[in-house]
Amino acid sequence: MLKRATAVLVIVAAATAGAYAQRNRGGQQNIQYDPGSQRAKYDGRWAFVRLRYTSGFGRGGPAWAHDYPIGEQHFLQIVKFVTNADVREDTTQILTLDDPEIFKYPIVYMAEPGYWTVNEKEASNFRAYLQKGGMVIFDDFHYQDWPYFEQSMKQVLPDAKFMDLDIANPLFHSFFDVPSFDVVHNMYDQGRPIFRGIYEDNDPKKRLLAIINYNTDISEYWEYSATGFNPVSDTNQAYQIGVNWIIYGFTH
Amino acid sequence: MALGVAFALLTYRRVRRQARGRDRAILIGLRLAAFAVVLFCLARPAIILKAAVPQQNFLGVLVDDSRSMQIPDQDGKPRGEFIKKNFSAAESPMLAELTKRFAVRQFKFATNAERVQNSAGLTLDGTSTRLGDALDRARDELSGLPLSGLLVLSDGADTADTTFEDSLSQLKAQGIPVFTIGIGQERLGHDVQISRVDTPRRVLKGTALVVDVVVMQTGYAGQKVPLNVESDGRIIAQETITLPRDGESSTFRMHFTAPEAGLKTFQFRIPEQPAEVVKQNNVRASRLEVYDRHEKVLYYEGEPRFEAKFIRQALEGDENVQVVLLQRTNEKKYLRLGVDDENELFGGFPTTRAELFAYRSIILGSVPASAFTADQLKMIAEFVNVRGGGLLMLGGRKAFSEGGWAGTPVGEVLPVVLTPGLEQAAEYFASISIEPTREGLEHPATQINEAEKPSPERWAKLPELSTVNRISKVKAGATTLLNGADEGRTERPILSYQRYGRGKAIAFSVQDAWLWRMHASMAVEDTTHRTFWRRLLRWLVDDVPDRVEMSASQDTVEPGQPVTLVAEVRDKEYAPVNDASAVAHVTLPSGKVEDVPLDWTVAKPGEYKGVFTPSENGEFKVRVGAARAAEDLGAASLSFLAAPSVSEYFDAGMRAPLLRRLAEETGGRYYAANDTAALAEAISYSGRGVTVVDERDLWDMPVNFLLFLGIIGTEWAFRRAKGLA
Repeated sequence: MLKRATAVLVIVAAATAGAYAQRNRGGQQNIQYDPGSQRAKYDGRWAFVRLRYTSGFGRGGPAWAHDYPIGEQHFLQIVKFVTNADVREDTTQILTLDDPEIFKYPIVYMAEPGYWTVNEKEASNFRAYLQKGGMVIFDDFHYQDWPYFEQSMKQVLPDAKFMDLDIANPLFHSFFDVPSFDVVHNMYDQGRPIFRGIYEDNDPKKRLLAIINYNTDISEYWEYSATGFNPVSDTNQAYQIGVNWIIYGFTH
Repeated sequence: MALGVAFALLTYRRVRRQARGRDRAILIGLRLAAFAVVLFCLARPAIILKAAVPQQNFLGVLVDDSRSMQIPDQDGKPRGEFIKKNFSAAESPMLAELTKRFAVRQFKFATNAERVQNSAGLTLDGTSTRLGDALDRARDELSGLPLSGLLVLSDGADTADTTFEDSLSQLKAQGIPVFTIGIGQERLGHDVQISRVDTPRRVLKGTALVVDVVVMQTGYAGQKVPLNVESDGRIIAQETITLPRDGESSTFRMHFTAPEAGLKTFQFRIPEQPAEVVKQNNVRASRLEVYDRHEKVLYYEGEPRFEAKFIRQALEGDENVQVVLLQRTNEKKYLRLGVDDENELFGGFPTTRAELFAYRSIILGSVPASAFTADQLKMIAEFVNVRGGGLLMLGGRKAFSEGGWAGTPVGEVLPVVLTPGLEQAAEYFASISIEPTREGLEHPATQINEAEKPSPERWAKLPELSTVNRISKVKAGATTLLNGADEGRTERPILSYQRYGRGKAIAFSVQDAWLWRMHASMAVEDTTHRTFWRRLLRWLVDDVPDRVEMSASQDTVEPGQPVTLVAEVRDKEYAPVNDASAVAHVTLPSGKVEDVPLDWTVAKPGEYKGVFTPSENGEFKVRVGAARAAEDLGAASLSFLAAPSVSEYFDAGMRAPLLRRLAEETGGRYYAANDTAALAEAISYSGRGVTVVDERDLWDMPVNFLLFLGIIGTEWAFRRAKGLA
């Protein structure tokens, strides 16, 4: 039932967000990459937080902004439609790792972590964020980028162990029962997607501090859901995985 | 008389001119006084008394043989020494004096009263004083004999749990006067006493306890002394307290955590002070069952939000509180976390009382009242009112008035005043800085320090939270523990509670207490959030009754003193059960087990009673099992201690008012121990027993003649002085 609802929703989202998406795809120069312009007053609800870091420009913009803002805008509509989570649709946040504001949003998202570099202040702030109860989702990740990501992440959590997550993990069943994540393959690289995690105290019985979508790009599916670029079933599953992250993050 | 007056006036006529008016008045007065004395004697007045016939009457002497008589405040010696000195042998001063007039029968009394030859064998170690029983015993034993009265020598420290009103009525009815001698000082010179300690009967392991300790003292006003809480020989809490003024009581609050499971004895002690008269009252023991089990709390969260995550995180690893999260993720979909099996809450929020009442407490998150059926709303109210569970509602966009809870049975239970119609109102948001109220500073649930001490400065450093609920008032009878002030400094209740029926309801109106964990200003190692939620939920489940509840009339008794065991039995829906069979299995200190059947009292639904009398010292463990046909209704257990009482050492000053009342109401008289010279004669003239009429001439007393001579002499001297002689 919910799968059908999601499938329908993809189409709805495509119709309603299509115009917005086209406007932004057609004019990258209009996108505001200044975090200050994205700062919204906290009102107790969760807003989608995209982490901004220092890096060179990737495909048409800074690496941290890949799929921004269409990806999260589509995704938030889905979250609002299929769940009763009262998340913010009126704004998304762009925050740096050393910004105290991140502590008001216990789920954050980072794109293209292969390009991520981190200084000591950022590492320290981010470490505290994760240790207190925050959760980060790393997404849009090329196969060859792992060593760079690992290097940065080890600055944040030096003792972190990266563990592969299988499909039985509660993460993939917190809202939708995701049967397989093989379908959400990376559009630009070969090979199967790999989902990894970092657990609190490296104990799989405890909560996930970090979800790492390695060799895949979930938000790419969200971004292009209005275009017909991907099959609906694949896009559906990308949304399902995303919704599960959020429900997991709200409860674990 | 008339002739006398005329003669006096005639006599003084001659001197009228020589004397001044005042002198004349004095002289006339003296002369009239002399005539009055003569006339009094000529009238031959006499007084008639009923005096006891010597050796024809009995006198019951009751001497106090209790422990309090060891207190050395009668001329610096133990109180009992006064009795031994005066009543040990025939030649003892007071006994000898009384024996001349009466046949003396001595009784010693403490817990029981018994006839003794004399007081030489007093042990002064009776663990209680039952004055009424002693008076009854002496009256019964001396009934039918000519009795002049009873003489009680005691410090008046009656420790019986019943008053002696019945005994007093009997004495008054039979006209038996009671003479009393108060031994000891009404106020001890130097003494520190722990008068009272209030602890709950049982607590969940790890619960923060705030215990009121009442201290009284004399002789050490203003001094600082330690007040310790000890368990199993270890000091688990200590406060330095300043002693109150002489004779006054002060209450001190001790904060500590019940450390280990089991039936524990906590001792509250102030060390012995220099020159202290009674050291035994420096310590008070309190028995407490620290139980160790999983208390299940059903947390129904209506929308995915971080409060659920962080409450779960705070309770993670807690061995005693299990939070079962029923997370509604959309209108008809639930995520269940912390359940015991796959069937638990499979259909969402419970639809039967039996299922719901299996939990000890409920937390309602941001969920609207419309998410429940009318019967479910009624069930939640009954969960508090009938089952005795705890209900906690959290702030949120769908909570309180904004969730449409006004006018529902649950709204009735909540401690805050709800406003109808706000579920459709524009959204509201306020940042709130929170501080504890006076009650909150001392309440166990709002101690956010690990060290269980009041922490006003800690509260001041916590980051602001926010609320989306318009709550400005609590109901009459509700208590507010935390207040909040918004940007406009408007104050509102944040954490409030009230008792409702058998249970309690709590309102915590913020939506993001998780910021006390996550906020940038909170250190990673800070435990405030965890401590707050653990203590709040322990309080929520604390004192929630089971289906079978048990109590004993006392938790410490003396061997031979009966204990009433009371059980309350309810079914799965917590309706009282009157047709159960309930048996108390009492395990004696020796290991032997005795069964005591408990009978339904009829007076109260579901209540069963039985009586057990311990015959030895030690701990008696009682387990009550209840069943109805083949249905096991549950069990409960407790323990009580059979041991010598120490109540004699508390409020150990001599209680003169009690002894005075006993004497005055029966027609006797009260004497202080060092002023008993007139005692024997007073008893003789009590008018009871075999008496003779003793007529004594008042005119024939030498004092009359001396008075006459004195008046005449004074007159003569006055005349001489004035030149009138």
